Amino acid sequence: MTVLKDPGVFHDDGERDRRRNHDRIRAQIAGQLRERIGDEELITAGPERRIRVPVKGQREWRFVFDRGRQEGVGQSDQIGEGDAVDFGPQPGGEGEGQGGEGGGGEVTYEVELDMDEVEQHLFEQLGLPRLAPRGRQEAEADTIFFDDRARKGPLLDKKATLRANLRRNASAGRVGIGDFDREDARYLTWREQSRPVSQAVVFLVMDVSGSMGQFHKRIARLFFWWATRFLRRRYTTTEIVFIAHHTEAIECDEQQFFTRVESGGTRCSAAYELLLDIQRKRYPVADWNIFVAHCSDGDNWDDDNERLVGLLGETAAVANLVGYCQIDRSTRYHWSADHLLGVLRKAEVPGVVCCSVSSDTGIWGALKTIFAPDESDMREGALV
Amino acid sequence: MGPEADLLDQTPDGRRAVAIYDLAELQQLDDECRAAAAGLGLDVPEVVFHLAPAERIYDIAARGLPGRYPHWRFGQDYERMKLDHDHGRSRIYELVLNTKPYQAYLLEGNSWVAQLLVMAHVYGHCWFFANNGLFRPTDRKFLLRVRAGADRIEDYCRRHGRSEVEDFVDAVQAIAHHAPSRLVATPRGGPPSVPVADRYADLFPDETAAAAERHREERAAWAERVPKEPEPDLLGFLMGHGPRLADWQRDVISIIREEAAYFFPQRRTKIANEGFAVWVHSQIVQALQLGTGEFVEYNRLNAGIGQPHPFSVNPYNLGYELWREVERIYDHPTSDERERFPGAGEISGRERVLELAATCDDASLVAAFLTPEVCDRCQLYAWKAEGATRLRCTSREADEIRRALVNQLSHLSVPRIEIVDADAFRAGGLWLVHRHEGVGLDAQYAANTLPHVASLWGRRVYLETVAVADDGSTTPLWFSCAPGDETAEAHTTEPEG
Repeated sequence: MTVLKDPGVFHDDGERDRRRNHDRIRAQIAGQLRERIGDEELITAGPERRIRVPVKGQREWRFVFDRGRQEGVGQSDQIGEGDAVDFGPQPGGEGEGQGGEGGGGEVTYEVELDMDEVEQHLFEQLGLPRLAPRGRQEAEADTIFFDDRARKGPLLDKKATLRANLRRNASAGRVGIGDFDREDARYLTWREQSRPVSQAVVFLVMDVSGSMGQFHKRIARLFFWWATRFLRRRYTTTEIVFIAHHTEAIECDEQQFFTRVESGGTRCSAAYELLLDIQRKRYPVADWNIFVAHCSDGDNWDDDNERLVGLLGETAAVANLVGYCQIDRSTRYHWSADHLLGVLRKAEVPGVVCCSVSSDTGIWGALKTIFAPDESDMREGALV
Repeated sequence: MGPEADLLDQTPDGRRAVAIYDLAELQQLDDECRAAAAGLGLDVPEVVFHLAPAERIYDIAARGLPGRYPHWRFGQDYERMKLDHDHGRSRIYELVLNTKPYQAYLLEGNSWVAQLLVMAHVYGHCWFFANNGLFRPTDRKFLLRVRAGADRIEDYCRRHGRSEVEDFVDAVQAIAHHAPSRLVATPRGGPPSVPVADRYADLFPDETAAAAERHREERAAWAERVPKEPEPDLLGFLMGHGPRLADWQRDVISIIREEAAYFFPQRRTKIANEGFAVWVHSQIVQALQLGTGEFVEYNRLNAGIGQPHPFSVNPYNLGYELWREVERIYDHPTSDERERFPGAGEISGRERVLELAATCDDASLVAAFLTPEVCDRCQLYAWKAEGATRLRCTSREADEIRRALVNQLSHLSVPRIEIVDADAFRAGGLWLVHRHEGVGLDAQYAANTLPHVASLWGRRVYLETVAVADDGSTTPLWFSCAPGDETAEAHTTEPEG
């Protein structure tokens, strides 16, 4: 009789239920994403791209027949009387009711996430540790959502109140609005999206010397890429300083940092000299929380090690945290004195956290070690 | 990959099958379909078609009805269905809502021929909805109630917390299908009848007094018994008698129970309804006289719809063959069929199809018309499961296939479970009995479903069922659990309080 074009708007129910489902299985999703942290598909995805992640469907418990003894009818001309056939874990006997009313077992399917959700799931457990309220307390107003109702409050929600009154009257057997009571009042209430007011600066330091092979560079870039994504997302007032070094160190912008190709030997102390210089000039300790994350293959000039340990101590004294991440294919020599990791371990500089990465999937562990939130932060910052 | 690409890829001989059409052309197509249906003597009701993108259609398909209450499960179902769609594993061809006016959805980007097929098919469904007696109790303004129910549940989420409401909905959904047909009158027994006065009673004063005493006791026991008769409507009983339920919880139960009742006649007529819709769309398409290219496309789509299912039954395929058989029997009966089917050879096949479509359900249609010819054409065979992943073909004989299929269609995969006592052990326990008919329950599923019942009842619940041995012998088996238990405990001896 009539053919209409669906207006295509005002249907956010589906999106809401999908998000809700993702929320329920977020441990599964986050686990899958961590496995794929080195996956180019994630890195190259723009804001429009959607990522698919396989998850196990949640079982719907019902009273069902013993499937091992069920009878049924199938369609095939291949199966003769008395023949036995193996089928998947789900027998076909279940008739799918119209409109998705069928029973379901444990099925693997894929959820679709946009980059925003991907980051939300991935970064849920990360934070900046020991953040102290320092600096000009930037009075950035927290974002407020009026999307809830309460029984007390300053802002009366008239529509909800009328509805409550109607409902109460109806339950008392009266029809219509009237005879208002305190009980009927509904108030708008809000949620705040809290944002830390403390200022922080993060120094990302990358070794770009000749000894850093394709593998090392890839891991370092992935590590820093995720680190910047995380920092930008979680802390809008955080500044990031990019430092690349071999025997010399230079400060560069983000693009140069990720695309730079260099060679030569390695003198890590150069990076920390520059870092301390920048910090003294631009980020006084009184005003700033200071964090350092450094990636290297650990192949430092031997005669530089002593100087480096001294500078690291100096940095750690002003910084909230210094994280050193060593990249190597094999973990066997990590602790040997030839490598930076061994040197640092031996020196035991307070305030320096060390970790090592030997594969793509290890990047998550490194991020988690360096950006480990404090206990209290974990509770509040659970939802980004 | 969008639907267009999907169709383009599969088009034989590389021609573009995706005709560019606009709403006006679809409207014209609709008019032609209606005219063709009228020409066939079908008085089809009014239908509103919505041309919508895949996201919207799968969204409605996942929740079964548009505007249903918020729940994570609909999100999960959507993503499952959408994934199958995007990978080309399955496609929704039609989505019809049994409301007034009837509403149906057309997938954007489908070929012109596919839209024609869906429209013609939908008219078949709507005729079935409008005429089949099982749908008479359906409230055709149901969508308004669904929307109102969703608003109330949304409101409960705000007041009591989303997780709490969702968990409650999960528990209610777990037993939502355990409701009796609204058409089957549930027997309501009265109290034990008063013994008839005996002329010679005076001769046996002791016996008479004892009988009177026994009767008094029976009456007293009856008066206290809840429920009076075994109650198969689990949600209905819990809603009325659940001692620990808040008002909002009773309301949620009533909403979900009503929605299950809306789907019930559809579940009972899946084969008859789909088969009838195919029967109707074939005739409408024939009447419209398609061009060769369009006809090739139509045949390709039809073949996809009618593909046999190896371990279950494709309702489109079997349903269509059953209706064709009805037509054949009444138009050209054999002498044997002339006797077995009253009126065969006298009234026309078409007439009989329409008569039956107005009265049958799947079980009755299959019981009467699943002939050896239909079994052959649909390649049917009966199977029995041997463990969870293996089945054995038990027969290819029509009689045995019919028995197995009718059995399956009469329970619709929902075991019959009844509440027999709401005050078990005088401690308010709820006692459920599974009427087993030789097939037990899946123990893992039972142990995980019973806690849902316990959480609704708020006290200890018991389930009496059977374990079936390899030789088919049964031994009684019980499950019990208290509210808050993760899983129910199985007992091989009857629980005592």
